[in-house]
Amino acid sequence: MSLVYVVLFVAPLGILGVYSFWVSKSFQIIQVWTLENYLAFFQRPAYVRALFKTVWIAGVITVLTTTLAYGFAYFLVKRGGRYQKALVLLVIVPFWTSFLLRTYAWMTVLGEKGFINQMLVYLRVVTEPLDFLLYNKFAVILASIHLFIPFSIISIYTALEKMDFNLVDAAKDLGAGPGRAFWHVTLPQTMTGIWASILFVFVPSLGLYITPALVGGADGAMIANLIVNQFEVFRLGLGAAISFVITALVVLFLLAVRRYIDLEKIYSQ
Amino acid sequence: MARGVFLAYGVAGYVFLYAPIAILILFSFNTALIPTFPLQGLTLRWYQELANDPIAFEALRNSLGVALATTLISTVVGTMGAFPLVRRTFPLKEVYNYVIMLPMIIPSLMIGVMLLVFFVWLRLKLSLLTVVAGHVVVTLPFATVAVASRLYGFDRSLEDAAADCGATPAQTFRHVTLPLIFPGILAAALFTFTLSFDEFIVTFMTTGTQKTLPMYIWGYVRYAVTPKINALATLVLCASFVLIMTSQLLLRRSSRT
Repeated sequence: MSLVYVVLFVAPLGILGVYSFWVSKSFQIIQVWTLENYLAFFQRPAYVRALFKTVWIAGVITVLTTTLAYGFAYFLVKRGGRYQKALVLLVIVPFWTSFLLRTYAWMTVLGEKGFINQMLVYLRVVTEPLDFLLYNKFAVILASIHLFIPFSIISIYTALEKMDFNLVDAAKDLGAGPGRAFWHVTLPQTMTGIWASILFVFVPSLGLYITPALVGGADGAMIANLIVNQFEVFRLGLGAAISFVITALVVLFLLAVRRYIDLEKIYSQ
Repeated sequence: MARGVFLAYGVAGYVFLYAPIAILILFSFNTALIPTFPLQGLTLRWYQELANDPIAFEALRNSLGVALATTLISTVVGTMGAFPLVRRTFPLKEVYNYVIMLPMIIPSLMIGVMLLVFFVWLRLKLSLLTVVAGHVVVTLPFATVAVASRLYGFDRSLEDAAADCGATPAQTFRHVTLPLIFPGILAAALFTFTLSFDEFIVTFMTTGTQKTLPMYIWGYVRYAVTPKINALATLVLCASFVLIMTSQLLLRRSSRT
């Protein structure tokens, strides 16, 4: 197992790093060490803007997904009743189905001839289809929440389910309002779930490709689209450099949140 | 009052999760070429069109081949990898945990990019074989975790008992360990198959000229909504749903015993 990882994961990562420091000219890689690729990236304001936009969109997706998921997990624990297990299953199963097809589903919902526009025109709410539903940041964020939220819900649900709700009652008996009881009792006890949600939404969001490509348009284009563009014109060096910048971001983020996350707990769920 | 709010929130949540998929499926039966509402009539025309598309069938064959090969490799290697993860402590265990987990967290585009550069460096010809290699990297953590979840609840005294009764380590594994973790292995296999069958980005980066089903779909959906693709999407989503549901049920049951 470790061998498979070294051969197919660690080694390629190293090679990617090396390539990002080599010159690539007219579809050929020249083995000369250089910072050219990184300079080419950081000196192009459009590229740097794309990087910031990506981090911003990923951040918005993470915050919204986690917040919305919290309420839903709370619903499952409080109102799930005897159907709780089945309800949880119905949340998680769509998560593992195709990202590509679920993003495509949003094209059929939000498009100019999509479901929402057809409805609005049919009901005479509008006379012309709305053209701002698709091909922008909003569509990317909405579709991404849809892609990621099942995982978030399950992480938070797992933490909430284990929580001792007697403590909340105790806090209320001692005079805390519902808000204070939530802030000082419920929230701290469910932080592991929240951190798992943040990790598993933010990091994949940094590399979103399908969603911005299908529903993002120019406004919603993210760094992954830029990377794929480089590879399509065989600028391996620059593509590798941008990928390495993202990988570095991911590693920094993992190191920063490391102490909040117990991977073995996530495995054993 | 609060109870009603939560209930409404819960219902809204399920609508949000399932409505886009339901709409996608609905339009696969619509007679009109462009999605129109209200539906003008129901038809199976788009499914017929799909059945008469040799390119779709070739893509399906490629996808099945890749998914079967990936499942075989990932399930076997993942099962082997689950043992040290659960049972041993060793120096750098935390690093090991992270390296195993990484392909699960980092964007699959990054995996695709690093494998592409790696294969170019090795001067390997890109083909369905390189795709399988990519899919193994993506699916291995999931296979490992599925088997590991079964191992966490494993009563090791059963293995000791077998050994005390004179079983060789191989016999113990064959007759005690394997049957007990088998639901986890089966769940891992179903899960890996579905993930590999649906995988797009890594395939897109590491394939040669041969296309898999998600790439065939990509060729259409990049530009527009096509009812033929809605029909295909309906079939793929339903199949994935059944496989994942079975896999999840196997895991749930196994964690209870």
